[in-house]
Amino acid sequence: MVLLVTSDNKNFVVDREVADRSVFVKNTLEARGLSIATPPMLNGGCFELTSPFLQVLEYCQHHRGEPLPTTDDANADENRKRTTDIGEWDRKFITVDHEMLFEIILAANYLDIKPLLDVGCKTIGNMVKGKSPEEVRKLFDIVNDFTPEEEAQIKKENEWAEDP
Amino acid sequence: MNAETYPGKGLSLSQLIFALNQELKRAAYSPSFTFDNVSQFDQDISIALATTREWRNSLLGINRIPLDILSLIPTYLSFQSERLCASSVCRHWRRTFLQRVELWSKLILSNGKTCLKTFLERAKGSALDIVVNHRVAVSTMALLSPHTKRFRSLEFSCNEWTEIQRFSEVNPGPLPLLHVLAIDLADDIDAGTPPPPTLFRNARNLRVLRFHSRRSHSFTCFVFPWLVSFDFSTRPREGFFTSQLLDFLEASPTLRTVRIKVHAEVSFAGVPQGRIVILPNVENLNLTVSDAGPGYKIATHLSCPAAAFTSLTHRKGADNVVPHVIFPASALWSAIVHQHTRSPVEEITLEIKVTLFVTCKLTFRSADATLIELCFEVYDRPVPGFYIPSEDMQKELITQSTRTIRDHPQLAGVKRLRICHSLRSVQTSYIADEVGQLLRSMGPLEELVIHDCDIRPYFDPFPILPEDFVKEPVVFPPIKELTISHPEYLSDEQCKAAILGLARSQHELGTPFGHVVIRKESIPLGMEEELKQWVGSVECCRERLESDYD
Repeated sequence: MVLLVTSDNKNFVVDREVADRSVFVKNTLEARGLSIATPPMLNGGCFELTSPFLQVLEYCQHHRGEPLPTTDDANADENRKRTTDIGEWDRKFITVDHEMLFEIILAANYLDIKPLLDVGCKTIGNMVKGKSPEEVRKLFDIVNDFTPEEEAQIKKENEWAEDP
Repeated sequence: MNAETYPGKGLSLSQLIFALNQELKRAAYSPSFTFDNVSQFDQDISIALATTREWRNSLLGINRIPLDILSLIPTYLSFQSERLCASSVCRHWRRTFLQRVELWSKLILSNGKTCLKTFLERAKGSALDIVVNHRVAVSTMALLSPHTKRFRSLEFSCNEWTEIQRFSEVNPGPLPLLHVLAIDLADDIDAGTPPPPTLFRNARNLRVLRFHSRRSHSFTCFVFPWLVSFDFSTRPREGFFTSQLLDFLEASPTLRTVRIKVHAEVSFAGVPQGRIVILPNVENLNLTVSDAGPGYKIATHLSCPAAAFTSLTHRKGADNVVPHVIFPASALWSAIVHQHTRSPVEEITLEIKVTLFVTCKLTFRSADATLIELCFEVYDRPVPGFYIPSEDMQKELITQSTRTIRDHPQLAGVKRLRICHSLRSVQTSYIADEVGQLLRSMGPLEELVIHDCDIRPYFDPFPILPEDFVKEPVVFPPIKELTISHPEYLSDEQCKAAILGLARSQHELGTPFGHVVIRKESIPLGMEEELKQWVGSVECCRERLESDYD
């Protein structure tokens, strides 16, 4: 068992197999030869970690025992990027509000859980797919911050892709 | 970033507002107030507004994602237009995505010159993957000529030979990085045009050639000394000439992966019977022949001593005409085994599935884990709905597959046999005769697995089947471990009686099973205890069969 403490001082006791889904936690434990660790602490403590961390734990729990992606498997990495399919369980798991989705991505990145990071990025990719810039802005509450000159340049670049 | 400053300029918010106010006052009260002043002021406001909005956007959740992660998102967008759209959402996204050059390295020429120029500019100096579609203007092709050294892959999609040759002429520069060439010729567009005598001769480092054509073509235009992967498919009406393929393969000794798909009558005209092309480095050979006669014969003209996986597939349409040759005849089969395996076969799997489609697969695994796979598939359905092959077809499947196993030249050394067949409406006695012959031909086995089958044929002459149905009862060779997994058609009690009968019979013959595994959704009551009298050990696992329809 491993004790994980979040930046807001919440303790989580999890199976080693579950904790090891995070390459960061796995490496930390191996390097220190410890069964108890104090990560993860996100930089600056600006994130309320407990809530996304609970989600991340749920993900790790579900995928425990599955083979971890190897860093030297470049082809598999490429293939992962190309496909936008998300497994049924993962799709349900990642159906959360935008803020939680971003927090999960940040946590997956920090904890180095590549498959979860993939799921998060694919989800955003699928949201963006087929949408115009204006629709994407609306989706993520982004305002158009281009100057008229920049807009003219963009319009020129995108001309070929616009409907006739 | 300091929260007091806005991005890019290093000024605090109060400084920005103060500067804007000063500008406003100066403009309003200035006696030299001109049109240019107003224009300049308008421009400053635009910039200030854009900068303020950029600042606002930087506080959003999505823009807190680290740049290296954010820039991964467009990699999941497969269309160029979508990537371009994503880079037009806001300044932060534009900067981030433009920095990731690989997002822009795929150039699709049919998107036109503007797009090509934009992508070329964004790809900076990175390697380029180029897609040339049908009817691309020469002036568009010519935009690439200064960049040939950066070509990493070239894909011609639905082109004619003349177009491919034109591209080659317009971009004559060196191709040191070109590793992948894919040519998909358009259907019958230039039926009469022969391929150019040489193509991309300067691609000296080409590793992968994918060539798909609907017609029969010579391969003489391809001369690539370091090719490692060849993927070829063709469906010529005029037939396929094996001699051209063999010539090409002979000239490509570095090949490691060969995938050939022929949908045509195969001709061996001009191929001497004893001609064998040795492919010393091929690890993976995949040969599929559809609607043809002796497609397997191609494999007998090849020898792959280093092959780890050889797959030979015979496909036919769903017309219920029973083919004479489902698997290669004895002599061909023997040649294939000798030319494509290094060590003796240890494990054989027979799998016949008659469900929504028909597949019959024989897998032969050698001691060094090399595999030969023979596969027969019925690939289409004449009318929508379920295709049910005729009884004659199903009989031919079981007959030819068991015969092919028996014909294996190294059968005596086989240690494991796995059988799975889901034949429909074939007389049990017919199957019993076939599996009976198969099991009689086997030596002692370490393991026999009978999975998802009607097991009645295996238990003759036990009471489930009237004895007069059976010509010759099935006799099992000595078997260390028997697994019966998800038997079909029998009630729990019938199943228990059959398995107990078999175990007792083997025991009485002096060759009892060492270990028996039963996998079923429900285990008959008392089965484990009663079976223990006749076998070394028993393992009963309650588990559900995963259906093909799940």
